[in-house]
Amino acid sequence: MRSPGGNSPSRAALPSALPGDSAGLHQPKRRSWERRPHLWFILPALVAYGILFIYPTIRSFYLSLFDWTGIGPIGKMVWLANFKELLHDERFRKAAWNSTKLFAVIFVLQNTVSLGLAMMLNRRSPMTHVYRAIIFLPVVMSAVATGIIWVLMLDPIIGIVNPVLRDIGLGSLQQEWQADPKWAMKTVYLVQFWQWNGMAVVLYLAGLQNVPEDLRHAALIDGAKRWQVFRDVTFPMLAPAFTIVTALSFILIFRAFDLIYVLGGSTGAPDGATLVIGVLIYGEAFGTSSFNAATRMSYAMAEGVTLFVFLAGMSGLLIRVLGRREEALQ
Amino acid sequence: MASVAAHLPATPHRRRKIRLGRIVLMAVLLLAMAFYLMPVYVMLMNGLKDKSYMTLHDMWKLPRDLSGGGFGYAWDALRPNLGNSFKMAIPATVISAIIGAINGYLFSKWKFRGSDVIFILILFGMFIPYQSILIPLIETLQEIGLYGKWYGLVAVHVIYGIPVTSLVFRNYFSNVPNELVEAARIDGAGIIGIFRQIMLPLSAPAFVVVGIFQFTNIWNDFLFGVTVVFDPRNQPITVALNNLSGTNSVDWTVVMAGAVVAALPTLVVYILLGRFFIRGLLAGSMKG
Repeated sequence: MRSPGGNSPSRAALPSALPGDSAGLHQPKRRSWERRPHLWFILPALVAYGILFIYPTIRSFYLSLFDWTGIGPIGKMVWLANFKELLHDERFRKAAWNSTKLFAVIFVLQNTVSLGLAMMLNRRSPMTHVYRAIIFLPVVMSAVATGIIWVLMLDPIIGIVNPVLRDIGLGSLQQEWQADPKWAMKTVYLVQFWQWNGMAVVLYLAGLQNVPEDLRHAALIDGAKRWQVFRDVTFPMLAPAFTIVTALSFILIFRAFDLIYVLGGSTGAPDGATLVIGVLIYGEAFGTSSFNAATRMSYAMAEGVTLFVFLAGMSGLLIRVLGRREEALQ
Repeated sequence: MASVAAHLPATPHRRRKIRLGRIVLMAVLLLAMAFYLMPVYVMLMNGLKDKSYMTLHDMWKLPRDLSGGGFGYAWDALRPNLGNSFKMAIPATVISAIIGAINGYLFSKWKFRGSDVIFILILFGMFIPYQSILIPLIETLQEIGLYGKWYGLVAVHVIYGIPVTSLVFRNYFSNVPNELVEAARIDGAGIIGIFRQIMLPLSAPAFVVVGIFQFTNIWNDFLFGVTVVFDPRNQPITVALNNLSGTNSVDWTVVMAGAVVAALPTLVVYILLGRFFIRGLLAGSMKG
């Protein structure tokens, strides 16, 4: 997403050199497709992308201005009424708030637990390789399978979490995890972090490889405390990794759907406690259950447009701010 | 030098401190490991158990016999969908990686007027919440006759993978020196020649990263699977697994066995190729 900084002039000059001087001598009037053979290679993918991605996107923008359930003929145009309604919609606010909380919690965990694990694993030994592999395992596992396993483990009757808590003397912490509105969202934090922590650890490990050992040792020898070395040497040098981890989890979490859908269903059970923006949009578009199939497609599209604008804008801002920070620190 | 000497006498003390630190470190790592492996253990063990043996007190225990527990039923129920997932995920991954490589090559080495703008527009695709464009997408698929077909799902995954595959390959190919490309041009190599002779031989790490990334993404996808294909017999395994657990009388041994079946292919791919994947990530081909 960052434009390559050291963009050498030769690269830019390379293709444009073609139609110019010497080539022009041989064949003075070649058609543009022959002069730019690369366009032939990129065009099919772009056309397909246009038909299956850009066109539906634009059409969803357009349809968000209508009153349409998604089934049958498209209703009348209501312009921005759907968007106006969004501003006062309790469920939309709640979902937006839940997504924001989820991002905030994951952000904190990534910069404490994930980063801490990465620092512990930043050494060459066979054990750390095995460890790294295990921690990354959930990232490649199906979100549906992950969700189902955790539903079983957190089940208050046959689940494993409560008995374990009791056995290690923390019986007072036993909960009806998923049924209790107070705890349901916290279980979402837990499972989401379980699945994606490995990604953050590996990205931070990648960043740590760019922090020279010598530099840290030198600082330690000069009498700096470990904490100071981390604050003044290691963390600033991790700025690029911080950018990637933060931006990636931002996009992932605000679009998150399947894992949370498996955990809380399309209504964000219990009582909307686990309703996040991705699940809300799905419920509005396709109905919340087979019993309640009432859909509001145009409204869902308005929510989608809002989320898209928010994500694109915030990601752009995030990457710019964090990019500046990288430059300032290096 | 003086500061080094000043620290030397402190070594015995420091060593003890380090040893204590190491014990704490190991304890923390072991705890985190348990947190990571417990769900996998629960999934495997309970999938293998007999239904009657799965109660609160036995959840920790190993299965009593080798009857295979829920696996027989889960296998019968999910086998067609497992086949669907393979039939869809393998071609989609291969095509997706090839298109990503071509796009990345052109966007990094054959820039044309507006190519950067097009590239950024493509990246915007990563911000689109798919839920809200599904209906127009389905309409379009109906129009061109791809709706409900497994190859329609392949097409969707290939197209929706373009942003990320192009990004990875573009960043990867940007590191190939332009001098190399120019030298080949002077030697008379064309656009295809340069790709075949210079780019492809260098691009194995990027192919591994994109391949694993796309395979796991496509295999694990739920949203497109449940909407683009309506016939349950043609749906991928993630959808079938979710249906299996959604039925009223949940037999957890079957569901856990099903979860193993659904998760195994990506886990196997990762176990076989994961080293290269993490190495590729660490080498920064995901940066950008």
